[in-house]
Amino acid sequence: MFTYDDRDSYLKDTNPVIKLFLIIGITILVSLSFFPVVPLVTIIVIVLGLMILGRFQLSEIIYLARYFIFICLSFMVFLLVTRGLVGPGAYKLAFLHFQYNDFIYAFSLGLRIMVLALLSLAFVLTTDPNDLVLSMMLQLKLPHVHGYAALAAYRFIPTFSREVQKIQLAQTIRGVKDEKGIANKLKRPFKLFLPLLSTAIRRGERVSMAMESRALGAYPTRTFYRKTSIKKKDLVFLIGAVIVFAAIVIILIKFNLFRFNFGFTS
Amino acid sequence: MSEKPYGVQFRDLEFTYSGETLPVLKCLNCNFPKNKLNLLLGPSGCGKSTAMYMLNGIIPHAIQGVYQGSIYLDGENITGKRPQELSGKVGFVFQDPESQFCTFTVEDEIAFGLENINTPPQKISQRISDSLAMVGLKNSEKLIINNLSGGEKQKVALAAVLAMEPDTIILDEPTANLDPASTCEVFLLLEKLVKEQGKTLIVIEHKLDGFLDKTDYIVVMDQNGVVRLEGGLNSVLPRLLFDPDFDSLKVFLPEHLLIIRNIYSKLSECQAIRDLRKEELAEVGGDNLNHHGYGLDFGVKTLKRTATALGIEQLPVLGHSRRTAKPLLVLESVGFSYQKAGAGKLFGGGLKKSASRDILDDIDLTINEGDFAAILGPNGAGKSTLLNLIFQIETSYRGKITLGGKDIRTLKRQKLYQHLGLVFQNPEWQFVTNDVEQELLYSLRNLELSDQQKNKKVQEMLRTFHLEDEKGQSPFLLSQGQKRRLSVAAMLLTGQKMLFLDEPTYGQDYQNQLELMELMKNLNQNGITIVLVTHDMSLVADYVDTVHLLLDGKIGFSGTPEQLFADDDLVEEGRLLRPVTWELSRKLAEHFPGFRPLISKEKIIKVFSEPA
Repeated sequence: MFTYDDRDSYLKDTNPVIKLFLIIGITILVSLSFFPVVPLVTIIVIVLGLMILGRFQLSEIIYLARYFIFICLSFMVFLLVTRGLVGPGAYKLAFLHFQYNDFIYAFSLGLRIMVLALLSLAFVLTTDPNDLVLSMMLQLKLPHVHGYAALAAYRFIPTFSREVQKIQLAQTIRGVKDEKGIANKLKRPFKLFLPLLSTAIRRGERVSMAMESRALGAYPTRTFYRKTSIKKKDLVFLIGAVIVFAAIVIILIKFNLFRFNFGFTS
Repeated sequence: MSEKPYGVQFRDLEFTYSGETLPVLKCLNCNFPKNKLNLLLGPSGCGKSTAMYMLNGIIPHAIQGVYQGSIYLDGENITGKRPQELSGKVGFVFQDPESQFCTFTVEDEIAFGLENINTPPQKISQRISDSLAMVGLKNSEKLIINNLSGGEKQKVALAAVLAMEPDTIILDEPTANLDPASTCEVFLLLEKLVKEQGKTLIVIEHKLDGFLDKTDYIVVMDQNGVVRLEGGLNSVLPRLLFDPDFDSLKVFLPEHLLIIRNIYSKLSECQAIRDLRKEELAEVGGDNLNHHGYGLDFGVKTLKRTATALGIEQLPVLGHSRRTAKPLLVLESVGFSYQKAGAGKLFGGGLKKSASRDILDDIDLTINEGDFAAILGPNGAGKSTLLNLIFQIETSYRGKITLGGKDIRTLKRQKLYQHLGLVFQNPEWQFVTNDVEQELLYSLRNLELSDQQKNKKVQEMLRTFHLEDEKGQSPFLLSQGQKRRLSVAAMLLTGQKMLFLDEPTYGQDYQNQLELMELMKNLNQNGITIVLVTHDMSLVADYVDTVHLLLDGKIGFSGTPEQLFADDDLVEEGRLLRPVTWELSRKLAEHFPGFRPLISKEKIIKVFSEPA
């Protein structure tokens, strides 16, 4: 579910480095306010952005983000319940007692997590990994040997998920699932990890041999057949986004809905 | 020496991997002529790949060790150069198509090497389309590599190497992971590259049916990394087949030639065979690179000649040595369909989204005690699902599955697995500890035995599977063959009488396949029932006595492999490829009336070497 979706769109054509900058900016912005309105508005902007500039449908976004939505909602409920148990508070629900601030606390944290999750989702969905590495090498001057090593590693992800299934089955038949005791249950992921790591190392060696024999690192420089660059379009996107968020911040401040605060307590 | 048309010359090459005491290569001397299709033959572990890594500089730069001797390429000493420096001269195509790419699309992959050597982008586009044209993949620049078939991936790997315009290209078991049709295409392509592009190819390959005849020059190494034979096909092959000096040399050949070689070495004491050998060897022309072919017709001709010399007029008809048919695993009217989208899992891996279609529909299947059986069928016929049911990964099936008369639904999984073992493609998948001995003890942990008894069983297994010296080691650090043996041993510890193998040969090198299958044969002779789930017809030909063909969720055929291959409709419906031995024995039948075609090498050898 968490992979690049190859569809032509404005967001796909935007330089990944610009998108990364924007993500960092939004993350900082959201963590400056401890009030649920900022993350809520940000979520709406990201979803609209994905729909208009990324050509995703609302239903698709909800489907792709379903696990995050579930996690955020349960996190919020969990926070509320733990706060409610402590009490005292003006609002009552069965044996739980809430203060006004408990809601602010739970919703702010939960929605912040949702913002981060959605930002990552939007980035991954609309960024060709090849473009990402190219822009890291060309715009951020990442050494190309490292860039291609990262790309080669990324290529293995689908193979890995197939392998995990196979290992799980093999270990089920060995009886790993039937092991009793908490210690054994906790050890289970490590049992999966070892075979996976072992094949990964071997693959890594092979791929590095293949890349070196095709002259990776032969010269300090290399040419690029396909290039990413920062185009006018990218700047328009960045400036546009900054204007949108500036406007949101100004309006929220005006209606006293921003509530500048780093802290986690109020 | 310099006027000889040698492209690559190895002189006194020696190499010891760092951390090891014994050298892999000792004083390797051989040549690979220019503009020829060269074949490097030798048993697994003899140092073939090591020599090739030295040629392209991976050794000593990516893999370290003690290096001696020199390598010349077209007269130039290239000893110890970095792979990067050699990339425009020597290209390398690796065995596994999955792990030699670092980008996502065909054009990016081919551009990768060219970019590294600073080729101007304007030129790259032309080189991409040229190299794709050479491998027969015109206009596939934009395709996503992950969506290509194994054969296409190997062609892209080759195109990526060709784009850098090396004169010499090394291919290390390039078809190991490919199906027969793709293998054939790759071989044709290699021949074309030599004939039309004048490339010098050095190929390490074990699947030689359909390939040997295309090669020009052969170098044969023995187990100790010494070159025993070298020369044109016409001078090397007859000596491999007929020269008693080379009888003991382990070497892979096309199936029909292996048969001949085996018959001659079995009957080496027979005077008629000795005379024949002399005759054959007398005909060996000098070091002539033009040859006449060693295809099936050569095989039939030679076998006929052999029969005449031995005075055999009629080949014996081998009966089937059927064992007592005592049913072990029985499936009665078993049906299954996946309930919901995405429920398809584990075996086969892919999601099966067709909700209501029956994957298996009324399966009746009996596997008898002591069978060496195979379950065959085209992709999507339900082979993997069938395994899921037998191993109770899926339990919502119709009908009944019994093991030794007991309904397996009534058994706990743990209990079931004490009777059924499963061997996977990759032995590492099933390892759950970091110690060989513990790995075996793990299989016994639920049995009500004393520690002493458990220990005794484990030691016995270690002995049987030749793993005593490795008992303190991590399973992950064993050799491929040892890992294989350990994985099988762990599956037999609780006294399993039945072992399933899921596509056991996919992605394994030839030597390992052979070792595994010989091990299975051995186990089978000791009373263990073996069931292969496979696409690989050469396994079926050599080992299996009963086949069950799955077609559209039903058992379309149960019987002997010979009966199956004799039926044109079934062969077509099951998308099966008949083994070479079948064609050979069909041709033999034209000359020996009454001879019933056989498919196992062993049986064909038997009818000649032990007539009547």
